[in-house]
Amino acid sequence: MSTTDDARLEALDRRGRDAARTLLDDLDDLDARDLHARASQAPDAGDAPAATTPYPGAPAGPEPTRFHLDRAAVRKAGWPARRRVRAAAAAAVLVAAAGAIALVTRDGGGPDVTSGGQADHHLLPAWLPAGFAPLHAIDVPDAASMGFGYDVTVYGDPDAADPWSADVVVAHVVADEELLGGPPSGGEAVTVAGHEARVRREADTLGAGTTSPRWEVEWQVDDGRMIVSGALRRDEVLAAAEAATSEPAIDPSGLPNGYDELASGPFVDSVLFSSLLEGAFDGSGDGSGLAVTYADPSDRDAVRPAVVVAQRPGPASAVDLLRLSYPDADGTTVRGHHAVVGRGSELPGSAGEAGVVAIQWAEPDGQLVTVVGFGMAEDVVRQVAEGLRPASPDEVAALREQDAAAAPREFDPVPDGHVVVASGESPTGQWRIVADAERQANVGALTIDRLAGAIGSTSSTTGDRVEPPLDLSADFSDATAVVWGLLWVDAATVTVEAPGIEPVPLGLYEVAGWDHPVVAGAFPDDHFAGQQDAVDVVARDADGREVARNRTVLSPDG
Amino acid sequence: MSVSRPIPERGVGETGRSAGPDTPFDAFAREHRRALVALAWTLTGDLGLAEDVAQDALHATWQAWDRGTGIEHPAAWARRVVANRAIDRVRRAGRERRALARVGAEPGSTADLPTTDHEFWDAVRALPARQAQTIALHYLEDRPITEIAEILGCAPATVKVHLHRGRRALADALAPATEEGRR
Repeated sequence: MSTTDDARLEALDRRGRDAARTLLDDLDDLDARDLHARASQAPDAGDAPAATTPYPGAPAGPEPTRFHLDRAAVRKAGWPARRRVRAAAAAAVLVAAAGAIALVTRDGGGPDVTSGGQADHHLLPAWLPAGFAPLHAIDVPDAASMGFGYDVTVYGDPDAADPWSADVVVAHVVADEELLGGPPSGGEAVTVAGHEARVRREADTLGAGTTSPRWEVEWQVDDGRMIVSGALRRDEVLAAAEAATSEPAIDPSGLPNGYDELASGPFVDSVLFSSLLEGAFDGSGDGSGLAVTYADPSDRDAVRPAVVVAQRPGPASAVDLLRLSYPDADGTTVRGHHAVVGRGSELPGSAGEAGVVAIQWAEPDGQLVTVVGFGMAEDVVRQVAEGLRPASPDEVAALREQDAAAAPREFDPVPDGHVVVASGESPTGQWRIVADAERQANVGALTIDRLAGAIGSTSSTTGDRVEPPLDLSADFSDATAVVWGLLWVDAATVTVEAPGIEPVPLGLYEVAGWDHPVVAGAFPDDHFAGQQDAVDVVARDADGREVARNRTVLSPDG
Repeated sequence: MSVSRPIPERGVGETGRSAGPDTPFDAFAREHRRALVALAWTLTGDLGLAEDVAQDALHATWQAWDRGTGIEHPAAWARRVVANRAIDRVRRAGRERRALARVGAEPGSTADLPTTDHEFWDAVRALPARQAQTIALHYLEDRPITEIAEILGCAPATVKVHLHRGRRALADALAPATEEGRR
């Protein structure tokens, strides 16, 4: 850090301390004025009925609420465009829930149960698999209130055997450029309705998991992005893009003959519900939506079955958008309503072999309901969905209270011969590095265990790679990057570095019986944003001389 | 990372508000209310909202205290609730703020806090949520990194990162005024 920087920060610190002092002085003055005013209005303040105060010593009711706000931003630069936009959706929802995402299950500062007002619309299971109990109850985050939107309209031929086999999707993504990670890139430059656009051929676009080739056109608009994607010829998709509007919609003149709207609504849901499994949200909605995760609390397996029952206001036209997230999907009927059941092989945020079944439908009162089963048979998930019953406001409030009082999750004890080398917390959980002390010093003898959210749990060990002088691994989840490895040379410090970004120090840890120390540390996943997801890890001796350097990848795919 | 030792109570004055028999929670509430309101205000910028958030936090603390559910460090716990709920409330209010903006409503008055450095705290509120929480706890109560980490429920290293990035961002945002202030 330069001397100029030091001087600026010193000046800032002085100003910060002064700002704190004047604020506290002002609050003291305000209290004094308030007491004086009360004394003059109520000759005997002690007569005030205690029952009207929410806690002993509480002041009178709050002043009328005024709003004076700023919005946080999230960076996800450096990701592929498609992933970036989808990640932006997830990030925006996470931002909507930020601040308390780590704490809702452990500090009691959970959702404000008095703010709902629509709890009588909520449905809760009348039947659950044996042993299942509510683990996590939250408001469904309201991304729109954060100025983020991801609205989608899908077109296809309703008379085709499978109308969704050659669909055209138009999406209007509303977000700051910072959130979107820069202008559209890749593919070929074209002009669409007067806009500079990029056209790309992709095998997996809006419909995650779709294997048929698709063309995708993306361009910037004032408030974000327009994306048109279709399993059609290049010229057909470009024609659709020419006729696209930000509603979002495509004028029939830009669509193949016979095409009509198949579904429309907010697309962010698919990202949202993937993340709900991880429990990575607190009650940041407006109380109209509710998502409850159920599982067997006594089952500590990493891939234990779980089911999420989520509901929020939404149009019936959005029911079929579930197909965009689950290409293996069929229409069905649930509780007498049109529904879609989707099946996937990937269990988001956890092990991949358990499978996921999602069922979505719209209730007549305007609630979109999604029941997502993880590691559960389809008929069991369907039984949960069919058995939903109206909940009372008290039941919903009790669920949220229970969530707020829940104890933090804990790791299983380490096996014999293993030791915990380093540990820390992530927004919704914890991580730890465990060494198999009976083996030789080797990065392959180190395991990272992670807990995230209500039920997310992973454990992974690298292969027996040996890359002296500094062997590294990295793990990226729950908004936290963890870097660890083995140091084969003597060093005083080890830091993660990238040009122009504050280095992050890693800790050095001894393992009994090992000749070489373990290095480990964690930092927010956006700390090195914009570094193409790769950073240097540098070891230096006590004199600051570099003695080892290696490079590691921090991307979610890394 | 376990919470292994109590956070010392510091720097918060009494408001001398309650009457009647003094329970341990009464004393706790009197001692910490102003600090909780200040923390909530630094994150929301609205005094009414801050009072509301602080009151919510004290209410939640009281309930836990009353239940005997073992809040090991109520001062840290109450601050954590304030930090979380303040950000939560700010975000919930986003839609209403835009509605107010559309009808030309004025933002909250600063008259209640006449000597407060509103420019400074506005800049704090412009930071990402976690940075804003860290900075507020750092300046408002001069808490060391380990205590901030305990309050926010994260690793000290994470606090260091947020604090470093937050201070630099603040220095950039306030550069002209801060530098002028030094002359």
